[in-house]
Amino acid sequence: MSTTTDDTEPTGVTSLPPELVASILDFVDPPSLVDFACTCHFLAQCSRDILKQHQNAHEYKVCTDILPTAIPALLRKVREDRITAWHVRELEFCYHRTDWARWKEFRFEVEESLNVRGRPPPPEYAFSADERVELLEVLREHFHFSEQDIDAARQDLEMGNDAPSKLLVFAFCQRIRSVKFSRHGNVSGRDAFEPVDLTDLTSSRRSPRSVLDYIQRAINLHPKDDDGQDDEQAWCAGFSSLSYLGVGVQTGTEIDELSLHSPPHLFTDLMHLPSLRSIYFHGLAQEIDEMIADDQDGTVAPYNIDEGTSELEHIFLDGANGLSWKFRKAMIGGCGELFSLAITNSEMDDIDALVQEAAHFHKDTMETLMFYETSQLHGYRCNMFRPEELNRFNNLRTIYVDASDVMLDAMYNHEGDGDHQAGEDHEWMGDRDFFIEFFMNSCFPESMEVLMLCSMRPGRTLDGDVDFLDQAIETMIETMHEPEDDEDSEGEGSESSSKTFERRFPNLKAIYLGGLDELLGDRGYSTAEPRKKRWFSRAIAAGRKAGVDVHTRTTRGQSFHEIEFPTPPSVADLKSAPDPPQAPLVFDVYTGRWGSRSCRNCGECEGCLAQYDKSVWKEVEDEVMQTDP
Amino acid sequence: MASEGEQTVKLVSSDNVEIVTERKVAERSMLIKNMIEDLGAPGEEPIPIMNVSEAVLRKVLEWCTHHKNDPAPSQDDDADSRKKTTDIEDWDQKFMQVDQEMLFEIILAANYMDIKALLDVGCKTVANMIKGKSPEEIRKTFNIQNDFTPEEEDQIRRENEWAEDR
Repeated sequence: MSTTTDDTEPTGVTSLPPELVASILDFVDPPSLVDFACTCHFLAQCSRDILKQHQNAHEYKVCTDILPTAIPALLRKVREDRITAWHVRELEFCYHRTDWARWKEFRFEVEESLNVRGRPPPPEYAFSADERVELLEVLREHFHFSEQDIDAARQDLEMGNDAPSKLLVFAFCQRIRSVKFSRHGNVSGRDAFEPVDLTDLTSSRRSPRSVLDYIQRAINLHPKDDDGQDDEQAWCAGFSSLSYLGVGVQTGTEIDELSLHSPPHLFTDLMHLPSLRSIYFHGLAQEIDEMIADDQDGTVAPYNIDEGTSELEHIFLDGANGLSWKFRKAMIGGCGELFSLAITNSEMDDIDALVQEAAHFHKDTMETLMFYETSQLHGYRCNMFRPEELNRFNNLRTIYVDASDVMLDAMYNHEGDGDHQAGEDHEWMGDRDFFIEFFMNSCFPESMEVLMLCSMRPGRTLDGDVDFLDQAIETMIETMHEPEDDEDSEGEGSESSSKTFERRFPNLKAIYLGGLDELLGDRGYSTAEPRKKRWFSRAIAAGRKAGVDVHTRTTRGQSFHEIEFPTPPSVADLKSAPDPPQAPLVFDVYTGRWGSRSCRNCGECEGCLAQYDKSVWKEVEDEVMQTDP
Repeated sequence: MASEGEQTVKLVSSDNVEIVTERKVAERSMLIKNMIEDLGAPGEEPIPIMNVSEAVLRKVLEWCTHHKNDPAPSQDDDADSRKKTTDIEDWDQKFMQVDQEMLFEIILAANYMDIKALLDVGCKTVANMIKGKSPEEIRKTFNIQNDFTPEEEDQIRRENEWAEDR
């Protein structure tokens, strides 16, 4: 018999009527709802409705604007229904509807498009007059839009420009993680909200305001605190939560515009977003006149970002062109702590100075300095930058270095010792020991884990250089760790492994040499005979022994390490993309592009046989059989 | 006749205790407000609050007294659900530092007496007690008997994988 029946009698939350439990659940943070439902049958029953709503809302996790109805419907939904708003994590803005004529059904086609024949959606998708008033009020109240800005937004809403609605969708979703803009019609102009001067033809021909114009406007109008910094409290929900931004993302479809350029001011304005950690930006460009005006005349508006104030940690520039000194300094220096900088497919000079800038501001945080597809990148009196610049970083892990710059730096250093007269000859070329010592002691930081040794002129590496590099890399791998026992050191290894160097690279994981190990570049230099000797064979062997992946044109098979490179967004990750590719896309670390898997150095295809003679591939095959039977 | 602000009303708790309070305070309760309007003669006729004991009623009136000058709840408060936050103002937080039995009594009373703002404060207080806890910790907190099999719990987890997306 028990006298404690009262204790087991439901008194607390389980004694409440289900509708009151439901009222409590309205305030419970969504992930905890599931834990709550898991406690007992009664509470699970009480949670059924709200869990069902979450299950249904989860389909809004990634939203795209492909359907003309999508944005108006989504905006209505996230304004009224906080559960849906909670679930929206990613937005893909692919197609800018600038006026009602473009509110047709739209489908992404990789090939030819049928879109001209699409029908406009029924008129109820447009916002009613009342709704427009409400939306404009939000712009006024939450974004501090001036009356002039409101007029512009009113005009856009009436003419069927979807940009203001997209801004609002973004702003209302409190857990937005990522927003991607396709490489289409998102050009932004600084004067987007200036009134049109009808007498001035250039101003009246201005392109329609884009959603980036609206976001930029909202950022520029954001209230400042007493110190002149952005008032952290006052950001709208989506603005505070956004951590990834992709501008000019490729969709692999007909809508991708080849020459889409954005002004650098947009970039520095976006740096104000309070949680933005990572940005991919395609098409950042400045005309040469404007660059000169910016750096020399000072007639270009200043970049509106104070040193060290942005939360941005990862920058990926694709297809950038030019870019003034002032902008580069604002971009690099504006970051509080920059971890990675990657540049691909761009046309820029003075890369060495950019590297210096990164070292100046972020010597302790920078971990990744990566360049892909570098044929249009140049440095001052070097190909890109001299390896000695890297010595100023304390924590660099993943590094791109141009092999010719290593050679060049070696030459400068050799000539500098006074034994040889500058320019007289290239005697150092015969000085293998000097080169290896230089390679080990002066070129790379000891924190290095991944080295991408490439050439901006693929297919032009010299046999002699390869031989030197091969031995230098072998030495680098063999001397990674302190020798355990001195007695063994004589018996094996190359002659250089017994030599002591000032530096060791104990964290070395992978070395990528595939860019050097190509006879023909993409642009097709003179055809040469397939090589009969495998390049970098010493480095490959040393790597295999030490657990370092040495990747060349002849290596294949399982790697020791998984290496993460900065990547542009992949089409395969876009909800908006037409059909998922048949085979998964792989990232090419040399070109910086996603694509279908290569032959993986099969040794049998035409491409492989153009590089190396059959005898070499046989050697590779035997080796694979040996190590990986 | 005294002005509305100084008028008093007599409330009778479920355990038959009469409590006299300011009309303005009592009218934080929509139940009482409607009754007064129906009765027409405030102050004379005692108003029975049938489901609420004296102790709880006094506690509720303490809250009403502190909040008597708050703006009256408007109709569209509920509609604007985006504004739902779990923030509780300091005074309310202190006020809610009571044992669990009292906490749930207050919630029941606020619901019965139709005091939306107090109900919200009560619900938020409970919601904050749930936040971030495992099912076992929640059971412990609220003394809940586990009548689930592990399979049933798994089933709920599987149906709600969305919650893993933090």
